[in-house]
Amino acid sequence: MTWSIEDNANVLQAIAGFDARDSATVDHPVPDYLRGLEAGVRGLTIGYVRDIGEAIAIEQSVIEGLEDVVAELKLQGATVVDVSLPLPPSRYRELTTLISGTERATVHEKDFVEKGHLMGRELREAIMMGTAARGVDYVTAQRRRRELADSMDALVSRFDAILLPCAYRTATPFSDPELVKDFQGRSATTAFNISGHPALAMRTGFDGQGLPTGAQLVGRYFDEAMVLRIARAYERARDWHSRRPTL
Amino acid sequence: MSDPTFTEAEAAAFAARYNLNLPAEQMAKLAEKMGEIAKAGLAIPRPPTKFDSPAPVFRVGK
Repeated sequence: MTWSIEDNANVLQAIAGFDARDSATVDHPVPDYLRGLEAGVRGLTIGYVRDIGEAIAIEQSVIEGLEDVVAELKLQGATVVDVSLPLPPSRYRELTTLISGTERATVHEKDFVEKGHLMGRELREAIMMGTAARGVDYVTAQRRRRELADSMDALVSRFDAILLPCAYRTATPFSDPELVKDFQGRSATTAFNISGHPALAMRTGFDGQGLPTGAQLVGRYFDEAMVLRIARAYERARDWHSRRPTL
Repeated sequence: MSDPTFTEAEAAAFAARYNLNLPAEQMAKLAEKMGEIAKAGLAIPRPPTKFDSPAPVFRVGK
């Protein structure tokens, strides 16, 4: 949501912290996210998920971007080790249908009851699903979530960060809603929505049409500073953040 | 087990029960989404026993 890693650190600095009216926050000191931003990656160990374990293909331009990140981080002195996710990302997505749908329906209940017919199609249909979810399935999904978070943490905590695909394809133009839906649905981001690890999507270049490709960096719990530091090391070596996509 | 399905009449009854302000033409979509969420719920693996309920690993300072 920001053009540069520094901007990202600044935004995070502004929004991080405890809020008694926000159940998604914890009472934990907020570090200075800018302080270590230029510390580089020498001596760090980064896990690289080369194979996400899905039958679905990842576009070549996305793979090339990931390989470029690996090569650059190695050049700067990081050790990159091949690793595997505990489960393919699609297995985490199964839970978000239940969890996100139900929680979205809870948050928007009043609006949906009174004027659901006026909502945009995508939101309305997501709330329809959440409204019809069984409590038993929601609780089961949360229990399963803790299992998956546990196994993911066993992987992430072994490294300074994990590098893996973000979206499996190059960004699509907004003019085609079906392509946008496909773009949103084919990604490895959901796994960390479920596990709660800090994750950052960063640009890795542009495809032949001038649209951006990306990769995902994931850190240990509450170690957003490390994720930003590694992303900044790559960004500093490229000029992607100063270029704009073809729209 | 076959996928759960709902008719438009069942969707309309559900909407009426919860006072959902949805027009008749959206009942087919509501029925479809009721089926999707039921299928998603049934697809989640159940723990072997009722005593398998792991504690959260997400904690401060780990």
